[in-house]
Amino acid sequence: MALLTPGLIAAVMAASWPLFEGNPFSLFLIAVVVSAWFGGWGPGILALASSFLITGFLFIEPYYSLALPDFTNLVRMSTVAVVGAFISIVCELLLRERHRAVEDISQRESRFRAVTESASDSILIVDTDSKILYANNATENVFGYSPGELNGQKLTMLMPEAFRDRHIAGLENYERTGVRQLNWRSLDLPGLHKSGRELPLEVSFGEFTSNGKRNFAGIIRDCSQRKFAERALRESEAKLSGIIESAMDAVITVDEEQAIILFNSAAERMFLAPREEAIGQHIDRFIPQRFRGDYKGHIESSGTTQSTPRSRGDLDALYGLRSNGEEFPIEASISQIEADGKKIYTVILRDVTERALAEERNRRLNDDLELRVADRTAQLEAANSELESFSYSVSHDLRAPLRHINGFSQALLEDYSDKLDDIGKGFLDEVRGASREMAELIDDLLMLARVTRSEMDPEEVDLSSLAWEVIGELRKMEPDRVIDFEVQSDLFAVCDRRLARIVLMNLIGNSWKFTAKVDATRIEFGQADVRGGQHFFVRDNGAGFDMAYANKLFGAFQRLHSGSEFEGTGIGLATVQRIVTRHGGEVWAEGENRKGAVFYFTLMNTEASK
Amino acid sequence: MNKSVILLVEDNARDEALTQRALSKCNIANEVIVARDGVEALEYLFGESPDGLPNPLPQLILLDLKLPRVDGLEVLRKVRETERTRLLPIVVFTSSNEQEDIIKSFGLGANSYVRKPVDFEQFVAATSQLGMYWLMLNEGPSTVGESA
Repeated sequence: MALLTPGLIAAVMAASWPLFEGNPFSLFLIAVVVSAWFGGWGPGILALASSFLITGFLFIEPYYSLALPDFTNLVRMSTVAVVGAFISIVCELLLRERHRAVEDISQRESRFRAVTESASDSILIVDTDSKILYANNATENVFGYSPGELNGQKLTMLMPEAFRDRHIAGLENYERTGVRQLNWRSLDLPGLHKSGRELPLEVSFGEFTSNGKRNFAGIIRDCSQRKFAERALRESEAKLSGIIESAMDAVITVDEEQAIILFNSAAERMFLAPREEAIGQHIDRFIPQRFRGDYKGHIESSGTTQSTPRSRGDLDALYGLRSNGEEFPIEASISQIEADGKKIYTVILRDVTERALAEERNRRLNDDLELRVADRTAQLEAANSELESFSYSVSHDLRAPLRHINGFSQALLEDYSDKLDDIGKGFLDEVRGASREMAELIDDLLMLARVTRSEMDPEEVDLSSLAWEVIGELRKMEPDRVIDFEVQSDLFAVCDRRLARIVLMNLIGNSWKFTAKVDATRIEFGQADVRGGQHFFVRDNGAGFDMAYANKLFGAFQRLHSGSEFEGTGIGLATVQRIVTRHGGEVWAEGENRKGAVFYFTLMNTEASK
Repeated sequence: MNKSVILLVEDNARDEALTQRALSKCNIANEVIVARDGVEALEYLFGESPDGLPNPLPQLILLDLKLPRVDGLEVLRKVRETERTRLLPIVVFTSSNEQEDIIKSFGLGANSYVRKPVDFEQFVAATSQLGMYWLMLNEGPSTVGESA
């Protein structure tokens, strides 16, 4: 350029030489200016030098020679050289300044890019018509649109329908009046995602002027996550406070200074103090004076002995203090948590007044019951001992007169038989018989009483052997009777041996008695499956009985046969029933007049024969 | 041994009469000393005769249990506790056969327990067997009887 421009100038001068004859150098300053403007100081000087050479060679006499010019031209040359050098220097300076400005701008630009493109928030620049001039990459993450899709579009496309008009109106109003209707620093606004979904946004924006035009830059953050977290937190808080508020127990939280920071509804009810009054108060306000030390100790020990963030220590025998001054028993547990380096103690309290009362009532009831049981037991014991002494006295005193009646009747018969005729002697015999009968009756009654009173000693008893024992005893009393006995072997039962013997004695004895008038007497003892279970039975082919009177069989003193027909006191079967009942068993009879009877019974545990 | 006595401890006069009658019916001729209650029985056993000597010890004591003042079991205890009388044969002869009485009697050292039968013929039979056994068949220790 530094050589080309002087060349061009030379060509121009040569074409219009007569114009420049006077001052051939001055025109070349143009070349210098042009070269220096674009190339700086180096090309300026080069252009100057080449201008001198061209001028000297072509336009100063002697032409076509580089011989030194004359004085006039030398002065001209010098002046042009000074001016040219100055121009070159000035141009050089201007050029440098320009370079620096360009560099500066590109640096700012790259800084701006670096910031906006690495931001995780969407950054948008819009003009006063809401036209999007710039959108960074993060915008796509927030709104789903790429920067290319947004450039030149209206900002309103990123807003839900309902907000668009308000935005435009607000912007116009601002344009006109300069009044900001919104807080530009931080604003929660809904946005519209490309997918049509609304977004919770946090927006801040500012304005700047570019090329005389107002622009607005907005930084937009998608706070779906934050909102979600906030909602979750709010929900959890609501849940927690719901739980705390609906708790039956009082929940009180205190800080390290034991000032109350949480006081639930149950606590309000329990201590008769509204929450507003309780919050901030020292916990001592709700503890009776004499327990304050203990309680403090409890809280502190729960504070110092905790190795885990939460654990509970039960407080026993504690009392609370209602705001009306009433003390009441409480049950409490303390837990400790640490939040932001500070310890918070949560005390859960239960008013156990009701329970204490109930316990007291229970205790009283129990005492009462025990007293009553003791009373009843004493009454029962008294009744028992009365019965005991009654039967003792019966046993001793009732028999003696009978013995006397019998004895003296006999004495009369022996010593005065000559003075009595046969009828008189017969009467005395009746007297003696009656006394014998009554003695028997007394013995049977005593046995019945004893059966009820006596202690039971259950063991496994071989009933088959026991039956043979009883049969042996009966045979001894009446050796002449010929009876066909059949006893099933190996019948066992868990029972009191002595009482079982009385049962068999009575039942087999009955059969013995009521078969007296039968020719081929047969008596069986065995076990049979009747009425859905194994029952022992004693069966005979004797007099039997009318089933119509079966219910009378087991009553004391109930007899189905006259004394003249069969002897008996009517107590034997009552005794059997009592024994069976004491064993938890049952007894019943089946019979038919003159065709025999069967007595079925069970004892404690009837085992099938082995 | 002809002079040996029977001590009958019996509060009921009828029983006493019947027992005497039964004893004579079965030819037991020993003198029968009757004590009408426990106190009288103990007085005889531990007291003195008018001549200042201890009363002769009976060869057999027939002891009723239900007695006024001191009852039969108490008499039994005292007799067994006292060195001089502890080996005397004592037959409890009473109306009842209460298990409790029987156990207590033997527990205190009765030699036998017999229930008085209501039927007089049986009563005589029982008395006869008792006399036969305790007065004739049974051999007591030589110290029994008069120690003097």
